[in-house]
Amino acid sequence: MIIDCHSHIASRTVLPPQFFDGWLKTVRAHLPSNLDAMQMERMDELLRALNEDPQSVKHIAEMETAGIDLAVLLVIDFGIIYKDLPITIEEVHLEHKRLLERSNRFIAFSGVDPRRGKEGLELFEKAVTDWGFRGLKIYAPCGYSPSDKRLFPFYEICSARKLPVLTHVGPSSATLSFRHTNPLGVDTAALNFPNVNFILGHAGVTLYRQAGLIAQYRPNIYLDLSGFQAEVTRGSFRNILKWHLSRGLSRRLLFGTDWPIHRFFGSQQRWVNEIRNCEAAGVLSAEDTENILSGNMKSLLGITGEGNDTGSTK
Amino acid sequence: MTQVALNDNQLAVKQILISLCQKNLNHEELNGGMKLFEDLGVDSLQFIRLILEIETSVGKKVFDVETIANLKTVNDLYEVLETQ
Repeated sequence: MIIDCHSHIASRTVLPPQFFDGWLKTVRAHLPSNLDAMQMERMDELLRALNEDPQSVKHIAEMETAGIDLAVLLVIDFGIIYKDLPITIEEVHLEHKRLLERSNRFIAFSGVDPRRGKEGLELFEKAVTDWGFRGLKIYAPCGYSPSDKRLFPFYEICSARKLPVLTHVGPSSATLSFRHTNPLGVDTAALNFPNVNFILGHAGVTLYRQAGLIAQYRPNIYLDLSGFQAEVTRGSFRNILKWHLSRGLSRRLLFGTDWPIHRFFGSQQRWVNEIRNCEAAGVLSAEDTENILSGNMKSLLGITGEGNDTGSTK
Repeated sequence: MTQVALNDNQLAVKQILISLCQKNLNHEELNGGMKLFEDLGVDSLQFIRLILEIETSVGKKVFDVETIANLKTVNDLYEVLETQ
């Protein structure tokens, strides 16, 4: 069994154009200045096309090819930081709910900006109580810390219901703030809520030494490997995995893809194969592979069988 | 071993790869079975440039997200051009 702990619905309503604009700016800044205007325009067109799978048809097809059984879809609440979004945060949740009803391949984590106050907390509670959402996504680049006290009522709900929290670590779109995205930002929350498991999004590879050290000493911290795709092409992924394993973190690493962001640089099958190849190369044991691809995430979600078979709070 | 002659588009792909990947390869050393990332050391930004330069060279749009995601080898690039 394989579980992807980190993915999104590829649609403009879920990942808005403003988010992609910042990413395009970053890519443009790294490309040589001799690219002509048509090439720049074509690059924008191709990168924006990553976000065009609103019904998740391509996503499911890729999952099937790669042998990924379940994927966690993360809601990000951009509604406070970006203006003029096409739909409300409640409608974004309902878009996910409809997909959950159509396909048993997905699990969804709610995402609510804590600056929404009581109304936001009520939305989160409704999502996990009535709509089958099974965790909370914190998106620190929207300008708040994962240890912001306004999030504590959300964490109390997570603690009572045994729901994991996934918080983004590291840089993001150039239109957002990186100030609160350091791994240590989660520490106060993790200390105050020892029964809540916190997943540091991308931190298996981004700022991984700092994140790994925190995970080594805090039993409720997990590390998401999504975003590792670039490290595979750079040839450093296996050394990063060895570093984690040398610190006893086999049971804290989680396979993730961050679909649709990294689609350009390889299919989902390629990333699954890379993990399997690490086992063939002796970097991972069979047990490590099992832990990373599904075992650790099954524990976090309370899944006991081979499918999306438990943990629903409906 | 008999070498299959490459067409103009394939030769253009080879030339673009040689100039992008900075491995000091010549046309004879660069073969179709080579992997773009592992063997030629193409990184993320070079990969984007590769796509753009190839389309500029052939004068039309030949890639989409799905074909790009499945590009592994030099032969995969040739194949995309052949099917256009």
